[in-house]
Amino acid sequence: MSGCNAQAIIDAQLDLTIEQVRERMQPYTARVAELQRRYAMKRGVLLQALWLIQEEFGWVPRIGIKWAAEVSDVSPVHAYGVAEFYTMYRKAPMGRFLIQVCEGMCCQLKGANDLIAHLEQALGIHAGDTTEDGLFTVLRVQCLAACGNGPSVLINDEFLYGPGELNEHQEGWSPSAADLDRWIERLRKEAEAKPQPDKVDSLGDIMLDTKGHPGSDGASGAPLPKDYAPPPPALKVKAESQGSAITVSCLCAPEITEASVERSTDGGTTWAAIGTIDVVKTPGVPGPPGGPKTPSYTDEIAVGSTAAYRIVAREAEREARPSAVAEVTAAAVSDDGEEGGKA
Amino acid sequence: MTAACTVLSDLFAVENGHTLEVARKHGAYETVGPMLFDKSQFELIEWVLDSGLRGRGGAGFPTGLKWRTVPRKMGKPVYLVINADEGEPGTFKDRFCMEKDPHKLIEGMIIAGFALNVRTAYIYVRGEMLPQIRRLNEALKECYAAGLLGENIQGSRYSLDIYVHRGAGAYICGEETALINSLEGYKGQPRLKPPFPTVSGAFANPTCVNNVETIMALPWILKNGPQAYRQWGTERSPGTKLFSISGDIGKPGVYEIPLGMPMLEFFDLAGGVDGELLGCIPGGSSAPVLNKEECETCTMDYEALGALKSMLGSGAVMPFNTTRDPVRILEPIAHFYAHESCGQCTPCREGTGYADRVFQRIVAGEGRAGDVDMFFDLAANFEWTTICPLATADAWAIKSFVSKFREHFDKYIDASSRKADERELADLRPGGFM
Amino acid sequence: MSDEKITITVDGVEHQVTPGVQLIEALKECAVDTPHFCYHPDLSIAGNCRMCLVEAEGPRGPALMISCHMRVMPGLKVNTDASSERVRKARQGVMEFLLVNHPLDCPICDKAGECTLQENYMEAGRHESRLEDAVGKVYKGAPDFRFTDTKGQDRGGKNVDLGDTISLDQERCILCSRCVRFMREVAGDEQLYIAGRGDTAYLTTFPGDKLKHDYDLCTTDICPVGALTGKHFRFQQRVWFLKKTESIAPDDSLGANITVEHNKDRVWRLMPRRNVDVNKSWIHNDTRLLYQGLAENRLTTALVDGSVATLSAGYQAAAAAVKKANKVALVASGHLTLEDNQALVALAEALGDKAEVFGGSWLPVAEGDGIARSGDPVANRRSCELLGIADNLDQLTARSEEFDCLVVMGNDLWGAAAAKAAALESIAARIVLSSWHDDSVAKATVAIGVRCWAEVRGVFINCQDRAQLLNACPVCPAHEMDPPWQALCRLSGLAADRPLPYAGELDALKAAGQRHESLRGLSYRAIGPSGVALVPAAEAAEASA
Ligand SMILES: Cc1cc2nc3c(=O)[nH]c(=O)nc-3n(C[C@H](O)[C@H](O)[C@H](O)COP(=O)(O)O)c2cc1C
Ligand code: SF4
Ligand code: SF4
Ligand code: SF4
Ligand code: FES
Repeated sequence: MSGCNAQAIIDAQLDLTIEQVRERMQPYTARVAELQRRYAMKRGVLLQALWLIQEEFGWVPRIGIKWAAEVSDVSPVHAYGVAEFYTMYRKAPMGRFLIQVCEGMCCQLKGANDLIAHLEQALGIHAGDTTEDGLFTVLRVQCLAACGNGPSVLINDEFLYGPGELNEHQEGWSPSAADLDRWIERLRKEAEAKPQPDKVDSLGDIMLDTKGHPGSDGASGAPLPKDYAPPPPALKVKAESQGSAITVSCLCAPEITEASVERSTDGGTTWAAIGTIDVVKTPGVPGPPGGPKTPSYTDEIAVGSTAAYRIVAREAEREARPSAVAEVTAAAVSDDGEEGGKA
Repeated sequence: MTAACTVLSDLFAVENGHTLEVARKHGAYETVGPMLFDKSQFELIEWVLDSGLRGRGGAGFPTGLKWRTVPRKMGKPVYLVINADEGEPGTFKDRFCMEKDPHKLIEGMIIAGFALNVRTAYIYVRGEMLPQIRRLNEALKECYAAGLLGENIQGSRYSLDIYVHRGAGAYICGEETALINSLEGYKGQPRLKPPFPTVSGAFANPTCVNNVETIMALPWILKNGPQAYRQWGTERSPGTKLFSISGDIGKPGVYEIPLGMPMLEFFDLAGGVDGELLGCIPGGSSAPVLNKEECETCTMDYEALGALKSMLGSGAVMPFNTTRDPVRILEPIAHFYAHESCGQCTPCREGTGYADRVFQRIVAGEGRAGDVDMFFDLAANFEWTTICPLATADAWAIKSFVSKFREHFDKYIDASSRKADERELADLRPGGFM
Repeated sequence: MSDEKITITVDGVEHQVTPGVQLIEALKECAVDTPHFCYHPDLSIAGNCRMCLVEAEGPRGPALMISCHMRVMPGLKVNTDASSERVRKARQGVMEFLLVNHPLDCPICDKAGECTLQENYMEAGRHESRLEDAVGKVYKGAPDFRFTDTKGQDRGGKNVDLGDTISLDQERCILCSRCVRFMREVAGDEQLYIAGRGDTAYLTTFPGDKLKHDYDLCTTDICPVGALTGKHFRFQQRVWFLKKTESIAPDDSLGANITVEHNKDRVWRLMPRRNVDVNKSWIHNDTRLLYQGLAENRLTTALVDGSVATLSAGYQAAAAAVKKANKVALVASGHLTLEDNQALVALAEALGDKAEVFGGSWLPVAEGDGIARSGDPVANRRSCELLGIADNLDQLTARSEEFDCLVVMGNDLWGAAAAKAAALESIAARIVLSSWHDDSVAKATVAIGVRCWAEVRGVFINCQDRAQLLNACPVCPAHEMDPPWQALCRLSGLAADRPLPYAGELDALKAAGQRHESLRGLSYRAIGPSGVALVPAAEAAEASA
């Protein structure tokens, strides 16, 4: 969490009961239900639930943390520990406009410190504090992933990285002190015109009617059928001759249970199964047990003749489409031991 | 940007390229049809392996090899989690990608999801990137409406849901197991390995975590074949990569270039170095800094930078010129790691902050003789002694800066009013703790 | 489980160790002690303190690994601090980091003397410190407890009232997460968490909530530092003065293993003693606090018709009553040792036909908690059963008219169910042997003080049929008091024709062996500190046949 000094945090806590918070969070019911569908366990909702609290209150009061714990099915202290871990949850109220300036290495190179100093002077506060009128808070933050436009500046949740509106990006543009003055002016006017700020959807407008994670509370999503993808054919089929002995090898998926070797002597018009190939896992191949297999099969053909091989793999009952074809001519082993032809 | 090299960036400059309509005009989702559904999972995995695609999140682990270790057929749900927690100082490519071309990411996720038996996928986006989250949600809605997501995608038997998960401010959540913890509703603290997440990750199910950019390369690879991807790059670092360049450079921004490009050539492409080059951080703040000589000889690929005991990392390049003081560049870096330590393990939790305080003292002109060595030694003590590499990254930054730019550090000590302090006495004081 | 050992190499020497265990445990088997904070054999592995680093041979050469997370494999090669400079330096580094932000509290810290941080510092630490005030400390603490000290330093949480039983010092906490894991995994009630991050992380309950659990004091045992301390023990005694006696919890039939810690005739605390098969490392708060009532309200003399008398006068009066009686009911006790009950049964036999033995308890039996309690408060019920003593108190009350003398030993019938026990008040002579002034003593015509569980040696048999040993601590408030079995011997000498032939409790134990196959051959040595599982009767009969 980020925020202010210890006393301010304690002073800020709200005198609300959990029932009152539940009441106040009623408008969020649809989003909460959607979130609860999305994870295998409700616990996954926690970070998002804390966001919703911040959306409603503008910060994360402790009683709100209890609500977040409830909807995420975790203990309150778990939720508290988590809320305290992340810097973006605010421990106490902040100004209406939170100006965050990156103090990372790239932005410092681009004068982030000067820009922050300028802001401090223009607003009459130190970084970390809020102006007396409650309008502006300035924070120094870590890299905002906009280094190309450094010093990176966020106004509330929107990037200032172009001369136009917020979030309008212009390559290589950097905010100057004058740009910030202009924005402060503009935001002040905005506050005058609209005393009550609009709420910004803290989850970025999620879909509300997905079917959810199969099996989760309130979800209707069906699990994947086991065989939605075609069975895997054998890959990288090779046939190599050692004289009349032909070694046919290939790469098989771990799920392959059986593979038969087919041979064609008429250039691939007709195929005959000549045997099955042992698909136990080969040691030395990366991956856990159940990783790919590289089985091989040995055939015998007359020296000088040519044969084509392909492999038809099966995954239980399902037959994969035949592999690519490897052709080989059995070459005589020459005296100097040089090996025969390859596919 | 060179015209020949637009695996990832073809839509970056296209107006409204982030909308489904425009993206489709440029070929988006062409793979989501027979091109994908007629392939077996294994073929897809082997294709990715053959393409040589390596993880773009920092570690550079071959994506196909990682995919191979996912137990797809165990009957447990497999999750695909996209790491969009981009926070490595200097890196801004993923944000850029999500903003300019969210559909390429979604298309890549459909491919990866299909290959890995994924029914539910998440995009974990940094909390600070709300505008990009909005854009992703918008794109997802378009896809659901067009039958590209949800149940029975495009009439196939494959179903996939993608959800965006908003982080809440913690760099360490970029580490894949911390990211999983954060997704699960815990503090973003890295887990002990083994088990590796591909075997037991989110909710104890197999989970494949991939970077945004890694996944965005998939549609192109599926369309053009693995060998075509190898037309760029080197044997062991094939393909193209997005580099975010900032610092003392003419035109900072995101560039897609083939891996293996000489660093100086890349600088020229990006508008040339402002002033005279002094050094460069080649792969985000975690990558040890290079001095000028090293910059002049090195190429932008995993092996060349590894050989210099640095790394390509996330592809965040930050050259700096001779007007800069390396000490002042290291200062925010050391502070960054102290601030972002998750607080789980001792050396990182206490050590990075301690080192930072010693360093602050040096920078403040109150350093004492021996402080620079002590700073270096503290860093050495949290290198490789921790759960995750965050502390090691800090140690690398500190050690590389101190050893390559030692004289700059010593200047601070020389100028210090307290350098003549009775350092020895302080050293000999028995344990201040008993 | 196969007993086959595997070979690993530690510091160049080959050792045989149990397969599949954590390296840190295997190293223990090799007599190598590895300093550690977060590892606890009865909790999940967190691997966060990094103190237990060793150098292990891996695919890419030797690498630093934590020994608590690593499992042993055949052929594993590791180097510890004994042979590796790298390990020494790494551990020293960890120690230094642990102390960087640690307060200088040892002189006022309750954990001093048994603090793992202090111990490891002496062993692995730098004896010369380079920690300097100039760079300051970051003290840990929740916003609610932070304060600024007289030197203007921002401080953390001290003396935090964590709950009814525990006081927390957030500054001293080294964030090992043992207590968090205990509450989550063992207690099953997550009330503690480490909040925040980096060096400002701190241990806390939900702000405003108090830690409250029947086992919460266990967190003070496993806390390696003085962050969590039991209020009951704060500032009571310096731990290095305490002497330790191994014993068994007398308040539950699981028989949690405990250590009685005493000094100067007084028990200062009860601590859990690890037994993987029984209570792991845990004891119930009530068990732990039993010591508080131990010395209170003791019956150290005899009472004859309500007046204080010497013990020997008490024995005389009791013997006279027994002798005079036509029918004596003797009530055994599942709160006393096997030896005591054996003596009772033997006394009944010595008294012949006029004596009858009853047993059982009216205390309600609860559900077990799955941690260190079975729920049955009658800790040694099994001993009585094995000695053939029936659970028949209700018969006794129904037939109370038949008896004119009642001998109750360490079984507070009136305390357990005064209404039921009222029927016994018609028995003219009521002799009660007890350690405390309890309700039964109040109803006795003759009461005799005896030693209590902490002051005797003897066997308890727990609900898993495991024989476990209580040992005597030298804390008895009156040295002339007897253990119950001996009191019965004395009584039988005075009241029966055949005095019991027990010179010591071992004789009683041997005699008990004659009564049940499963008890045969038991000896204190065989039981040892961790107890033995009894051989089921059928098997025992087979073996001896
Ligand atoms: C401290 C730390 C921070 C990281 N931050 C990021 C990050 O911001 N984005 C990212 O994609 N990967 C990050 N990683 C790398 C991830 O752990 C992981 O390797 C990556 O997400 C895997 O995806 P890839 O194989 O596609 O690269 C980080 C790693 C560490 C140790
Ligand atoms: S190295 Fe740092 S960030 Fe990583 S687990 Fe340890 S404390 Fe957390
Ligand atoms: S916890 Fe240990 S090291 Fe710390 S003050 Fe107490 S005794 Fe000393
Ligand atoms: S209070 Fe003790 S047990 Fe709990 S985390 Fe701190 S040091 Fe560990
Ligand atoms: S005991 Fe191994 S890391 Fe703490």
